[in-house]
Amino acid sequence: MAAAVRTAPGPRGPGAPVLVADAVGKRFGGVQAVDGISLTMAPGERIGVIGPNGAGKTTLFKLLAGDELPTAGTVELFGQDVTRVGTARRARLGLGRTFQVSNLFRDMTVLDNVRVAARGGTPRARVFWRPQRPKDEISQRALASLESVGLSRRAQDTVADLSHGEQRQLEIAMALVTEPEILLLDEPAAGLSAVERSTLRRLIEELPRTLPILLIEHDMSLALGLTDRVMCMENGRHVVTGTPQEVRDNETVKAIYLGRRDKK
Amino acid sequence: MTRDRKVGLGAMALLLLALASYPYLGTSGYQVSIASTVLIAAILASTVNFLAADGGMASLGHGAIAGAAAYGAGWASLQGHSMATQIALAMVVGILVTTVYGVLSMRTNGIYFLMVTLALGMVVFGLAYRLSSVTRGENGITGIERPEVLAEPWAFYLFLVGCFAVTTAALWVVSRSPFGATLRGIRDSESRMRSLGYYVPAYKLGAFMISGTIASLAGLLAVWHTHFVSPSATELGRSVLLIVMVLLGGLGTTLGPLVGAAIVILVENVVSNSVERWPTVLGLIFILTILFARAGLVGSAAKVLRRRRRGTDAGEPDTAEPAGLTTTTTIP
Ligand SMILES: Nc1ncnc2c1ncn2[C@@H]1O[C@H](COP(=O)(O)OP(=O)(O)OP(=O)(O)O)[C@@H](O)[C@H]1O
Ligand SMILES: [Mg+2]
Repeated sequence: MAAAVRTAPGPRGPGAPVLVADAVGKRFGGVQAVDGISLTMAPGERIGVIGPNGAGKTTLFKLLAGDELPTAGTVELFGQDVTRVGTARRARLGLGRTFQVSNLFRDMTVLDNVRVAARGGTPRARVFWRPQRPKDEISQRALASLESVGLSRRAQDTVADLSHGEQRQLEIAMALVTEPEILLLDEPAAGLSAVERSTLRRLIEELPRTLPILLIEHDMSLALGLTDRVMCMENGRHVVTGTPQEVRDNETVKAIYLGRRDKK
Repeated sequence: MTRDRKVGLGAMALLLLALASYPYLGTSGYQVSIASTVLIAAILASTVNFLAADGGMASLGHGAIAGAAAYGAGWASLQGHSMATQIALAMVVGILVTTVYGVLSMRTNGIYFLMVTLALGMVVFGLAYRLSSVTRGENGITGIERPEVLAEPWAFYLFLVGCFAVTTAALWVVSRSPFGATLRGIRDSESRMRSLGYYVPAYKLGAFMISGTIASLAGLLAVWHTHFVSPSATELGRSVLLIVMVLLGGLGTTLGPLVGAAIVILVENVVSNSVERWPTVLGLIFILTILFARAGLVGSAAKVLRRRRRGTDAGEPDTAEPAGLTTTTTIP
């Protein structure tokens, strides 16, 4: 898989942050979903974001991915101000992501889902006079990506036939095939069984260490086990940031999560 | 080549052969004329079908696009321009109108897309009515000729069979291309396509342009057939009938538009001779189809055939397949 990930290009020097959110906020009418969150992500860094339901994790995620424009603050991607830049453009800059709520192409085969992802935004997607070919480079890449998440034997099945866990794996295959330089994962383990969870955990652990990952997760053990640094949010606000151990031992986090650890 | 595809291509070849031999089966001039109307409507309906099935964009403005192209040819003919100019002007006007539609609608979805195309169709209708220095208003433009070589009704009919074959094949190819897969991706989830780096509006505009260009061609063919264009060619009712044709035949099927067009045109022209309320008859057929064959006639027939074949492949007793049905097999 390592070969599939380009090394980040750039005007920015080595060690310069790949993603910077500076006091971003998002207000929906009367709800301040995200309130002045700042976040800096170094190359190759893995950051976890935890917090209870409605803490604003997905909203923060959307601000970073470009699905929502912030009502306050700025976002920088690879040293470039992208605060007002749309989702497609950020994807082309190298931002890959998965969705919390699955919106896979249900009528297509698993392979076709990944093929559409692999062509994302390239001139190949504009070819309209030639059929999709099973042996071309796009298909090879799609199959390799399916292989890396352990889904190759389901390539010809339609998405509707996949289990929930397999759909989450497909989500990741689709993000990886775009060869992202930063990967955002929104609750990849939501609704998975214990076995599926450990499969997913291994999958994320095996991703190249050079790939920076922002992992949003309810499940503390997963979020803390896979990351270098964790941020906890509540009611849109920053609570604490630190190493997994520091966050685990933090009194406020304990209070927020008390009795919630086996929820979901 | 998969078996499905072979069956589909074989059925298509048979159908084209049948269509092409139609004028030589002792058919009357009137019958050939009706068949020509069906083919033109089928081409137009297939453009609506493509946009709705692959792009998820149901248009209520395609009648007006075709009508605008027809006016382009009509105006050129009125000014005494050459045939080449008439053809060029029809396509230019049609494609211009398509571009306006496309640019204004590419950021909309579902019902909003429908309303934008509907409103633009009304604008075209209004212009056809009011801009009488160009369109001759309510009277319309008459005496529009088609090229010399196509003057004979059977020659024109055969030309239409060719046009139908070419446009159907073109849309089929587009639908199976990477562009087609991209469109279906956008139809199913715009947000995901954006996050994969696709500029969604550009693809929607592209699909609209392909559809509108072929619709413009259909408009030119229509005016060559009837030698006449009036505001009624751009009426909302025409566009509604196109949607009815698509749904009757089966959304997303290759031959559905032809079957749907045949039913609508036959009811409109033949049944109306004996039954005054032909729209009621059409409405009944439509309701029955939606109730008992929701995938449309072609779509449902293809489903039945596929299920049956799967049954026989599994070793179940072979129930005789009605031979006639194979010609309606769609390329799924
Ligand atoms: N589009 C929206 N319009 C209005 N309010 C919204 C919108 N999206 C989110 N919110 C509100 O913002 C707050 C944060 O929601 P968000 O989805 O970001 O939480 P979350 O941390 O991802 O929760 P979960 O763990 O349940 O996924 C919630 O109160 C939610 O109701
Ligand atoms: Mg969430």
